[in-house]
Amino acid sequence: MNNQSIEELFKRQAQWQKNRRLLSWAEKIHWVEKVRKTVLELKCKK
Amino acid sequence: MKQIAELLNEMCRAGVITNYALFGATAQIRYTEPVTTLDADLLVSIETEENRLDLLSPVYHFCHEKGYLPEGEAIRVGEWPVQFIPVFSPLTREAMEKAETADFEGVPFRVVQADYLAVIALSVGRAKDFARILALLESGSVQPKQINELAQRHNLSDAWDKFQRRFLNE
Repeated sequence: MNNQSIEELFKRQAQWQKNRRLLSWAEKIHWVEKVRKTVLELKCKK
Repeated sequence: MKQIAELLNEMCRAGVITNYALFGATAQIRYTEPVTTLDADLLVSIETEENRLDLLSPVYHFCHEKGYLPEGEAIRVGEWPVQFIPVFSPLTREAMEKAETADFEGVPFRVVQADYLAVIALSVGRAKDFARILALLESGSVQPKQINELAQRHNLSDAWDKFQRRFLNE
């Protein structure tokens, strides 16, 4: 990957992250709840 | 989380607590990208005789009556272990009093504002607290000037100067 394509990648990533911030607070909390659930399930499987 | 909001509002109406506000990571998420966390932290004020060791017993009793049981140092409410933390300093009291009433899926839920979240994080000073301040600054929900003013009022100017030297010097 050359510098230009890496720069493009970062730009796309920044845009994606910006869009993620547009999620409502409740949507973000549900996202965290799902992550928590998965982590706890994985922990129980051990 | 909706269940927590409903429980806290009910606790207020019943006079078990006089006020509350969500803080910590679950409050931060209101202003920044989501971050993972295992529990929900709540600042509460309880009107009682001073220095009682069982300050939180009315909260635990109320939760028990509603079927919410202790889990370690927290109380399990739906999917979340909830930590009830009595306001422990002028800063946390002010943060709770000036909290905003947000809407969580139709239920009003008091949440500490971004500037207070940042300064509380500054006062605690662990690595994850510094990460919180940076995330809040990056999201634009708080400006360095606001943190500076609040830090000054709560004798945290040295901590803020140190933080700036360490993380914000460009």
